Amino acid sequence: MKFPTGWISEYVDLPADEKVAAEAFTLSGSEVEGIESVMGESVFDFGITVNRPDCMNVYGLAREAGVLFDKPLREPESECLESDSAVETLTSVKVEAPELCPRYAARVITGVKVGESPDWMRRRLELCGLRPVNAVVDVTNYLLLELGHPLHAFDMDKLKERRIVVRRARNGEKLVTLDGVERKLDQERLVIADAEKPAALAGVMGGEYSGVTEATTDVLLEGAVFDPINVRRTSKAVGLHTDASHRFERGVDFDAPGLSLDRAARLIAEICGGAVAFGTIDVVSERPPRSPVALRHERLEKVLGMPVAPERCVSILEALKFGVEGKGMGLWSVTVPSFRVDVSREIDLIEEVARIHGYVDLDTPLPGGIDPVGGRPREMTFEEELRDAMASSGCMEAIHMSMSDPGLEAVFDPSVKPVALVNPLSQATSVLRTTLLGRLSVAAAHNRSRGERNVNLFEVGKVFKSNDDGSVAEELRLGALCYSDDPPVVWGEPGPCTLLHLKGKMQSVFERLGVLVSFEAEDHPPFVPGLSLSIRAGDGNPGRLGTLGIAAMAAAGFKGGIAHGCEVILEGLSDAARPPRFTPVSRYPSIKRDMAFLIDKGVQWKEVLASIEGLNLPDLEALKLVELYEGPELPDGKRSFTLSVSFRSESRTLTEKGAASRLDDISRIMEENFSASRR
Amino acid sequence: MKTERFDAIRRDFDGEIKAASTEGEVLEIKGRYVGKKRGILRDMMSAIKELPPEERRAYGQAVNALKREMEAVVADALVRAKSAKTAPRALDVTLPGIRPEYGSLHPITRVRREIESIFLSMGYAIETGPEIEDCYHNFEALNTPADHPSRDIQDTFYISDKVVLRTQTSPVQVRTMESRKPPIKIIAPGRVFRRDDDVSHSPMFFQVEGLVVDEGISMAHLKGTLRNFYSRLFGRETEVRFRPSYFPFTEPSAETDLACVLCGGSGCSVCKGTGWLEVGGCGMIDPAVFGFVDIDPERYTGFAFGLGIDRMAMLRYGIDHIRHFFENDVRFLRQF
Repeated sequence: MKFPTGWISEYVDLPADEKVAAEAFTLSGSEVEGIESVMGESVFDFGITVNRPDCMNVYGLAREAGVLFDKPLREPESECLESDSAVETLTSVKVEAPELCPRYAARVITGVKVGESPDWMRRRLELCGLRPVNAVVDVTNYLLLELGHPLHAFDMDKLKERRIVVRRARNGEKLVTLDGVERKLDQERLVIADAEKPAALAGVMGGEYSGVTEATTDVLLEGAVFDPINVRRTSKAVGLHTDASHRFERGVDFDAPGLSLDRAARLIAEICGGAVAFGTIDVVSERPPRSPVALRHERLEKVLGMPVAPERCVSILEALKFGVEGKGMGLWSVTVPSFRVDVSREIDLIEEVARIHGYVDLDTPLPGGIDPVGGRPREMTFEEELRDAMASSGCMEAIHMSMSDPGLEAVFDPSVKPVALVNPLSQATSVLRTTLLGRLSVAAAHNRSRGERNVNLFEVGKVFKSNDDGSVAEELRLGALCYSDDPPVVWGEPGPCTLLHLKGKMQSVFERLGVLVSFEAEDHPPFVPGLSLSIRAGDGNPGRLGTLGIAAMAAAGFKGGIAHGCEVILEGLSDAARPPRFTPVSRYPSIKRDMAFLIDKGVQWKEVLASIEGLNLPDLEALKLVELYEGPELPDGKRSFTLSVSFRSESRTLTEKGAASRLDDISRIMEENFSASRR
Repeated sequence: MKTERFDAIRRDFDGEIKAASTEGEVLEIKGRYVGKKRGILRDMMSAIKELPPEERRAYGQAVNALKREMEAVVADALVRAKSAKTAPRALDVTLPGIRPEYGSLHPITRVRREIESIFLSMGYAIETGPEIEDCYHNFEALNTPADHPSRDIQDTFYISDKVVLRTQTSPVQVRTMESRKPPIKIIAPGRVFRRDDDVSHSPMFFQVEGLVVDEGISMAHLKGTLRNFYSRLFGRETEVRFRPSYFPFTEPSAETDLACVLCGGSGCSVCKGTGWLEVGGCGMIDPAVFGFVDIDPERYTGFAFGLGIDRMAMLRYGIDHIRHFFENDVRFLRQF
């Protein structure tokens, strides 16, 4: 909100150094966000918070400056020469909806000649970012900026029966507003009507036909107070946010219309000539209650945590135009000026004292005590350990927006109905993600397009879904994506991550966290059938792992290469994590042998493992796959498995003979179950 | 004469060892010189018998010393020979090291953890809440009624009339105060969403909310807490300044300005010459909020503050743009 300092200085003396003035405004709550020099004039750009409509004008800022710099405030000139004809003989005002319009005041000026407003006024409007229109409209805008109360000017000749009726619109009634748009109204909208039809949308915008033009001779000036909630709803309903609605919805000074109308009438008469009718029509339906607020000095110091002398409190409040009456030791009864619509409680008064007194002297003690719940919850600790484990397995942590493309998510998990945003920024961000893999894949594809041929990413975050009953749910997951596209072999750098590498990462990550994990070959979207697994982690947290299928590769934007992904639900998994349990370490030596078998290609490792484990061999310490070999020198349809088997007892040194008989058992079961011969 | 003999043996030995390139050659030389059964030094030691008794002690010590030296040289030669065997050629130790595969943590995670550990050490608990939030917790119970302009401060993503993506971590305040009574001393880190996408804003970012409610909590405690926190986060004594502001759920409310952590307050490009960085809002809990969660505002007072993790990470690592955080370019990620 821009105001030239020269205009503010008309009402109060500002410090010569504009930086000093700006800093004082900022440190008292009316932030000066920028200082510009426009056409040789200094203009402050204020960021006024929504609770301070009283500072959204020149006079209000001057009032603040008066307190800050201890300078007297000059009153606006508002006396005007009135004619003999009383306003009541020229028009009438009927308020049919007093609940939405507690005050409606009007003045009339007849016989005006509407031309351009004077240069000084046009210039000030422009400095504040408003476009000059004609002298009468400019005066109303000028007053809006100067005293803060929105005024509206009607061309009286356009008003049927030259009178005003403030009423709710009839359902289906129409009004073309000043911006040329036809608005369809209903009874929730308050209108300023003439004897017949709406002439303005109350508090938001005037009607086109009743506005003041160069042809206007008689002007009716409106200065009203409208219900803030109704103005806000109307403004939202018709999609019009105006300087007037901006102020009305924040609340205006109930006592402002009189002064503003007087000063506007004076300026119009000065600029456009004409006669100001005698008197003001002022329909007051309900004055807002304003009861005094009790302020305790002890409470003030307790909340602020610093001493502020009682005399200082009183002088600050009085400078801010509050009425302060002592009610005994450290207790005051404070009356609030009508322009301070934000103040009605003791805490509001405490803030007033604090913002003027300033926080510079505030001490910086630390509060004692610790929270009885305390610390980081177990689930969060688990989440952090998971991140560390994933990073140490070679993946880089990614963080994505939660918003995603519905098409992309549908490819990565067609079974889930996504949560749609009512007001998304774009179609590509119109739903909440239902998978982590979708965005991770897109990120990998972007990285590929920037030349990265080996990308390993993971993310820990929430996904979202719509339930059938219309409710929404969020779920914490781990996602990992490993992509490679024929990466060059580089000294000392790991090669591409295969599907089994990713499976192994998941195994070691979950093992490290004390979570049991198992896999089952099972097809899932978006993976290639046959290259897809189900994961079960902990007590049954499901997940999936596999090689991305062609639809997913295309949806993510890959132009080549191969990607493997994994996604696991983490909700509740921390409860399934078991701390390590010690098992005794044997003092006796182990016997370790390698065994190679020629076996049918169709036999899966899972079956081999199950067969040998089924033997329940005593003292079996480890059974490892050493090598899997296929080659032309082997018989057709066969491959070679090399196993490493080790035995170790906790209680004695094993004999070669004992070990040999167990190796024979293995050979026998391999022969029986798979017709596998030892090589 | 004996010394000459010693020197000659040593010279021959050094020459042969230097020439040896395989483990076998080294072992052969070792056997010939210091072997237990037929080494040259063993023969020299046997010759001790022919010396007069008064010279024997010094001679024996000299032979043993030479033996120890040779054994050490042999040990080094063996290591060299073995390394040469595992590498395709004699090992060039200036080659790049072979790194284990290691990923990285996102800078937001790293800074979030630092923030959390500072507050944990001050006795706080960490609380979390849903990212999809109802309007009651995101707005109403934070003293932001539907028909009030304070709703417009934050552009909101709606899921339905009554359900939104949380615009702030502040609803966690309400949820915590609903579930337990003071003393409360928590932080709530997490994702927040604003319908805002321009040069300096992202529609999603990360906040940390702080809330302390107890008897006798004041604005001074708030300033002390923030001053202590920022000083520890940036590793130097850092001043904070309160600038009066407005938030619906705190009163008095203030913006926290931090003496610029890069220039210390003298003015630089990061603080745009002002010497101050605006780092987040704060204030005393508005009594109206206590009303929603049934806490007696006469007995208890409290403060709340918020800060952007993204912003802290930008300051911490000198990241120039918020957009880097969510693009997940590995050239960015691998720097952390």
